[in-house]
Amino acid sequence: MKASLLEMELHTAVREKKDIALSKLDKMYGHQIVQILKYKYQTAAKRDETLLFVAVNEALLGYYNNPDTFNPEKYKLFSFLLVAADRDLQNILLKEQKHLNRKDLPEDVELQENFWNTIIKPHGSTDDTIQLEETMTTIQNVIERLFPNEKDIILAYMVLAHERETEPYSEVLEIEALTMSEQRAEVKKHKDRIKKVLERNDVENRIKSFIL
Amino acid sequence: MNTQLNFLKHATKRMEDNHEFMAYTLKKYCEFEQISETELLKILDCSINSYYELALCKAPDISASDFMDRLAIISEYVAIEMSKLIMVIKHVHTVLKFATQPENILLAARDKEEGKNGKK
Repeated sequence: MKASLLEMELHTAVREKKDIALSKLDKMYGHQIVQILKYKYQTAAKRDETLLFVAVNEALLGYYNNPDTFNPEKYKLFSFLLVAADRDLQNILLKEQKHLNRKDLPEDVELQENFWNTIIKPHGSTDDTIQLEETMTTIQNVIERLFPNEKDIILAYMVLAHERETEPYSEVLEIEALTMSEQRAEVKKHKDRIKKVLERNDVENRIKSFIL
Repeated sequence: MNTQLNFLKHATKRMEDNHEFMAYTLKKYCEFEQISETELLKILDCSINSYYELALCKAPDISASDFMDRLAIISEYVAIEMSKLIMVIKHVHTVLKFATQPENILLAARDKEEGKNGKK
């Protein structure tokens, strides 16, 4: 999917190293990518949210310093950055896992069984990492094809992670100023809409088929 | 603090040692003036969001001919008065200049003394 007009403008600003380029990049994509990673890597996020910040920062700065690694004719900037941040987070978790293994701690000490953790459970070899990356990209493509809007993509990841609390959805939808009952009603409306699309396209089973 | 603010804060902390960015300038200003980030927020009269967005902007070179134009873009983007940004940048620039070139202090002192003598 090609980069949008807004993304092209930002890409040009980054290439020209405009004063506000990094700030815009962080503002537009930073938290959105963090939110998606939060649902893909729930255990790690619960343990230490800064791991996610580090990974997303790495990805955004990596792109900022070398913008020509991104091809706007081929990809959306958001997707490119999400894949990069995902890869950076996997590397961080793999390093951490190796460190834990060296200390003779149980291999799965931090990994609980849930939908996303069954996907990202690292095994340590380069082949596994490449395969994992390919799987994640495939999943991402499926979701992005169904939801062109970035907020919807985050909501889809949240629904797939079976998030039940209203608050995280409200944050994504930016409706925290509404009363609690209004927020609940609004969140329900959006969740139902997202669920319908996911069910109609049998997304959960398709994702499972990539993994198993 | 929500995810966006937390992320911007983290990104800002990461850029605080990079003199090309406003994060460095803002940190230095707080150090030189011995004030907290919250106090600087009051001086700049901006939200915490704007503060972090400013921190992630590149600091325009004060001696460059396009300094004012670049600052105007930043000022509009973060919604902080230009005069306040100029005050912070100039202050940090001046202190750093004297800190890195001690001979400037002597020159400044001599100029001041000559000025006094001239008046007499």
